[in-house]
Amino acid sequence: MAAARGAAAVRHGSKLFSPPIQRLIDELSKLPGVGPKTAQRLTFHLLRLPPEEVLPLARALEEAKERIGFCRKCFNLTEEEECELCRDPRRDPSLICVVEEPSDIISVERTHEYRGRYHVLGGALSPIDGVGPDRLRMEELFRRVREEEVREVIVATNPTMSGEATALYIAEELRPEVEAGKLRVTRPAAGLPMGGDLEYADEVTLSRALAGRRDV
Amino acid sequence: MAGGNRSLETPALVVSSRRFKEADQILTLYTRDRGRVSAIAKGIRRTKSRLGGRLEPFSLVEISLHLGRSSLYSITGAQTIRTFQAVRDRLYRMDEGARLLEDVRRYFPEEEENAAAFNLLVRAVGYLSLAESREAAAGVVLAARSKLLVAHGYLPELDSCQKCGEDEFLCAFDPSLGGVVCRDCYGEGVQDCFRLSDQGLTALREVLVRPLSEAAEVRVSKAVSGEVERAVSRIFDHHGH
Repeated sequence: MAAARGAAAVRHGSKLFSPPIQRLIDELSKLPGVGPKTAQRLTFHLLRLPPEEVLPLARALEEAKERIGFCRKCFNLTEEEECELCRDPRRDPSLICVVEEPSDIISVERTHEYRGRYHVLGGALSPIDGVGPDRLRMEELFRRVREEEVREVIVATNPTMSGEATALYIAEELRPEVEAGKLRVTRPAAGLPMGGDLEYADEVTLSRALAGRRDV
Repeated sequence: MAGGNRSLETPALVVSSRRFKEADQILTLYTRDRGRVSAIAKGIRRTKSRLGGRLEPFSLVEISLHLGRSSLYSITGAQTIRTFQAVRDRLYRMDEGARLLEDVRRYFPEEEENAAAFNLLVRAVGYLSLAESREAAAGVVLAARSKLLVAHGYLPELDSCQKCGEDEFLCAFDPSLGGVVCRDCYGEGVQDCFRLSDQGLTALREVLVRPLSEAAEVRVSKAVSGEVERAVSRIFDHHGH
């Protein structure tokens, strides 16, 4: 879609802007959530700024792209071979929290409740879009579970159809270890958001909340 | 929209969703009153969105849509009719159901009302939610896909050769002709024609006439269901929108 938007921008703007400006608009419009108009606005904003304010942005982009890669263990973003979370000896290596994207790690970390390690899949299974397990870091996860002494895998994929499909697939693949009593595969509880009103809760969330009720 | 009325309330089955911008989703819906439509659900990915989990694929909802200045509908409200949660509780149901939804997304015309196709689709998802095995789920989906062909006006002709009219020695299927051909006509300069065994032909006839409620019980070999699958897919490919 971004490419199509870019192409549209070229069609409409090719005679209006000089090639360097058009290139910048095209590149910016490839970013998620940035359409041709926003890209144009950002371009003119950047061009209005003095060089000492714009060049650090260009350098930061280059530096991040050059220096940041994936952790060889959990596939989080890192400057080193292994990320800070995998190297931290205070974290419990027998717990693995599986997430779709590196940004999900930040959300879990913000809770200050979880002291285990992570595994980033790089997306979720989507039968409808043809995204199968081979497109995700599934094998790497199963290898970790079998080679390291893991006692619990928490599948924290999104509570969407793709996230649920991913959780079901992981649970199915790890069933032998679970049945042998070596491992637990769990999923974070689904329910009502704190501060929300019961009145506005949707039926799916509410039924999940009721199914997962606990003693008080 | 007729009479300048730019709002619409209709039952709809959620076909697919994809992320858009910060917290939005663009959904494909199959509605009873307007066929397949695309609509934006603003802010749906925020945990406190009132649309919340209502608009997951396979859900049947009463949807409120508004057509603004863009060509995309905006979702202004949704009430659950059936969640069909059981489809999302088993991977094999999701896998098989995905092919049904893929047909809707690829071949069903946009903004073209077809209440028969809508009702059939909803019933198929209902039976899919009850399927106790992958084979049963596959049976439901194959039968539903075949019947959806008919609901869209593509009834395959299975009783006589589509080239010469011969009603014996039928041995192949030609999607461009929309039916079977005999052994003498098979291979006469046709590109898309493929062999159809006697069992394949019988199975294809059967899925078209047997009620959907019995589809989960039909057991055919993988090779035979593959032939039926191929015939259905090729007709959609050839004639679908």
